[in-house]
Amino acid sequence: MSEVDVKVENLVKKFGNKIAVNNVSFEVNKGDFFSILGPSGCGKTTTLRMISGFEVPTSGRIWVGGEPMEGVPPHKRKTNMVFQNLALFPMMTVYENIAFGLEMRGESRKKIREAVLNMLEVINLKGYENKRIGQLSGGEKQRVAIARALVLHPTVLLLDEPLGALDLKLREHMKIELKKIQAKIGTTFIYITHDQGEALVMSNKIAVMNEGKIQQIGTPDELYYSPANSFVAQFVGENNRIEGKAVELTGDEVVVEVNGCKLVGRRGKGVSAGSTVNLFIRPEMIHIYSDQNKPQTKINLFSGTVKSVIFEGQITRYEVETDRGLILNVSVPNISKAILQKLGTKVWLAWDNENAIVLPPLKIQAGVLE
Amino acid sequence: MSTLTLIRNKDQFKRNLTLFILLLPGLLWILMLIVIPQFSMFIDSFKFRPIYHKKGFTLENYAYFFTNLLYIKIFLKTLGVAILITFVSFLVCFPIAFYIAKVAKPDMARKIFILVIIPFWVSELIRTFSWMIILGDHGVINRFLMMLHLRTEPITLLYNNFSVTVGLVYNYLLFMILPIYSTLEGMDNSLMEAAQDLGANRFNVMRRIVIPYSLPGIMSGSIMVFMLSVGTYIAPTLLGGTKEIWFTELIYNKFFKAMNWRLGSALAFTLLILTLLFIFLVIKIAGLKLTDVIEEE
Repeated sequence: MSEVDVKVENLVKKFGNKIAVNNVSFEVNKGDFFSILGPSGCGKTTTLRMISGFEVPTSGRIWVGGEPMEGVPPHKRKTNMVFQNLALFPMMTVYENIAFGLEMRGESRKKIREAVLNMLEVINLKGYENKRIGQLSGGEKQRVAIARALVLHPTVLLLDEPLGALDLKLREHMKIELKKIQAKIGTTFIYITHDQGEALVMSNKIAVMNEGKIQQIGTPDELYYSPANSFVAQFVGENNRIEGKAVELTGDEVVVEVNGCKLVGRRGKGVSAGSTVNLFIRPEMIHIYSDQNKPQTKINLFSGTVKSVIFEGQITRYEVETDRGLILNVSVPNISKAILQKLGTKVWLAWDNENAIVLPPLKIQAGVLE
Repeated sequence: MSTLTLIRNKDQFKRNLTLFILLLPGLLWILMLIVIPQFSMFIDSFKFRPIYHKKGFTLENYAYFFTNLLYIKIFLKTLGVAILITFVSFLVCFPIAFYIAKVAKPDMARKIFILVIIPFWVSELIRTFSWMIILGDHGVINRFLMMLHLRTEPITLLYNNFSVTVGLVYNYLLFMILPIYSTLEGMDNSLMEAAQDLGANRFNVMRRIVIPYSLPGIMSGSIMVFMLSVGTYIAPTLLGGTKEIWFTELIYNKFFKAMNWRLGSALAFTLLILTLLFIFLVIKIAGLKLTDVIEEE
């Protein structure tokens, strides 16, 4: 049984009439890389700011390291934050930035020096201590901001979209770097992001948030393969959404009727017979066959025309319009040149029942208190 | 040279000529009213006093200052009170600037700004007179205290260094608030939050983050308030009375009472050069570059 580092219970935050965070609860275990993933304005940053103490919850409770956080000001919490814009102190050197927290704690000069130099080694910036913040590159600044917080050995490190300002290439690099640092130090991370790719790569647990509410908490593969609702299915990874009507429920499967054609998928939570539903199928789970290789199966089979071909090296993305007018995205790993389909050709599309999931549609105004 | 570059050069010439014509009145103004008089004063300051009827150049006028203990005393007093004024001005203005830049909502900030600016639509002379009304023996403060029976005798608030300090701090309020405000305005609020997050209490956030960050603004405001205070004439004359003489009064007396323009000029340049040296020294000690301070404007 692992130790719980951060516990959040029924957290609510209202700004005037607007509910920013609506009854959010979760637990973060020691050593977790926990991400809160959601579109901008979903309340993820507000949640983080309540954990760090910069916002006071309207109701609900927070524990950090087993201690309740009511009335504890930010400077007395065992949380440290890496800010979205990093907020490094520009008038100080790298050394002074990292030493700041330790100085505030009243550590001895010798101890501070040891800790800072050690930290610089961890983030691979040995010899940078006397550089000014303005002299650093984006990635280096990033690492200093993380070091400045980690040197205090917080119970939990809070990261508020720290990679947002970096260019794509650096971001890819920092993703790996961050995960490495976390593995090396073992500190619990709570990471805020709107980028599902970032969350999937780095986290071992993700909470998906939308309109102030937690939609689902799970491991990256749980979210990917078993989304709890239509929002998660659409927000995490790419997905094809096909709207239809649930006509038959059989065990864990649902038969969905779309334009008079019958599709089968796994039955998600809240699907009832006769209701409007969404069937989700991921682009890489759709098989594509050339016209003369019609597969044997009868269900989940479409014929269509290739409308666009995007060759990406490892994979090829196709946009296929079925004869019944559905547009489906399909991505196929390029295991050989022979399987490439040409623009405008007739193809067959098919998928296995268990790879499609059927979920109720998004409720309108999901953010309103129920 | 091709025709094209010729045309381009001609255009360039035209543009430069327009620029020159536009700048001319300003340049003439500076030349005739500032550069030439200053230069002639500078030359004058090295001439013998008229009573000697001697030609040539001398350092006599400068030597007069450096060997006259009373003058040096007045100079040091002026410097000392100006430093005090600058410091008090910082203490008064920093919280105001911080409040406008970081605490007040935009609407409130504008209102405070207007309140700070309106008094400066009135001339320095009038503002100084109004302090005489407030601080005088029968002024607002003394009447109030006596009305409440807190005092039976009026307190002497006027005609001393106190009244000069109060008057000048008030006169140059804006010169301190604006540069500090502009540096603080540019400071990201998350810097303060980050400091708090790293364990700094409010006092340490101010001491370690906000003040060091706004140091260029503070220095630039301080230099202005200091220079204006040292070089002002009206307020010290009216508020300082006859007991507390300001260095500028000394210069005025040399020019218009003793009619010794050459000594007056020498004193004026001594004041200018010594205060400049003092400022460079302070900038050096603060670990800033002159450009840091000037860029704030």
